[in-house]
Amino acid sequence: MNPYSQDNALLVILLASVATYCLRAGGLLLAGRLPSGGRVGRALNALPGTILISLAAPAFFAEGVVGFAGGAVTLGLAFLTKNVFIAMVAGVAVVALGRQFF
Amino acid sequence: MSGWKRGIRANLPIAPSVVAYGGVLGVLAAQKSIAWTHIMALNVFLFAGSAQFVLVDMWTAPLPVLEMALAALIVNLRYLLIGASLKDLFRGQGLFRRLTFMHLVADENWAMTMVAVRKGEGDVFHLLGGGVFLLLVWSSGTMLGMYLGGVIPDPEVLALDFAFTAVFTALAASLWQGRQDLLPWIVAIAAAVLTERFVDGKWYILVGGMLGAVCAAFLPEPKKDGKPTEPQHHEEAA
Repeated sequence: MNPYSQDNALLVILLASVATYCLRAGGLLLAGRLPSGGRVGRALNALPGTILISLAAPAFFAEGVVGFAGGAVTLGLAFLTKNVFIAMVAGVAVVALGRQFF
Repeated sequence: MSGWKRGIRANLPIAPSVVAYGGVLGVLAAQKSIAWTHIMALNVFLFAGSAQFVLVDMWTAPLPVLEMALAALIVNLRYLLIGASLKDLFRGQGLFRRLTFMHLVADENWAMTMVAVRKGEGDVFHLLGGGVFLLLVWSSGTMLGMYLGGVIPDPEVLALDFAFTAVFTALAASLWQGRQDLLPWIVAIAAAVLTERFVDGKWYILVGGMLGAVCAAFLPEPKKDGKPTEPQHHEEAA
């Protein structure tokens, strides 16, 4: 049994998908009109890092001490090993362990 | 090795995390008895993990269609910036490739390709290969989660919810360009944390990313003291 209206579900999927596709394609097409050097270039260069760290940072604060420990281990191992998976597993393990004790 | 294969190989290390994250989403969707066909349609046509989590969270009959669509839009606003950051990668590519390849850009394969670009081995096929791979892995994870239903005991005990935070942190570390990034990152972190605390929704991603980038724009050009500023080449430990 599906308690949700089939039509509404499909409409949600359609609208969300079209909006997201427009953002993806639109970002690329509009960027073609921006200069690549100077200030705009430096901003675009910095963007990948600043977006990723913005995605992650609030979770450290929300998690408290354990989150910072997990984040520090992840950062340290990422710089040391250059391996995303090892860094991630270690960070998650620290948080999983930390939650047992705090 | 072709760009395709390099793209798949670059995304291989995060496959377990993507499966686990998708599995959690599948479990949640199964608990709300959402049809697997709807989740699969989201996997293919929306293809955005965090937005799918938000939609599943809001999936309560009768579905608030406009609110859900708007939520997905806000969560995914960052793709405007991500798309813009791919300008140089798509230089010289035709409109068809721009319009089709862009659909399969997710946080992970985008980040992997940006890292590859810094090493001089990224191209649009690296991006596409990673995207196709992630689509398969993500779909498998969500479907596995829906099938297993309540079998995953407690994702919070395993800290699976921290997995993506850790992935984004590790990816950010691999994009570190040097000391010129320090201040923009501090600005981004402060802005993201404050926005997340005081503004509902996912605005913090956009605010943090933008303010960090604006900060970088107004810093002086990084000094080039005789040495070329090529990124150091590190061997992948994978």
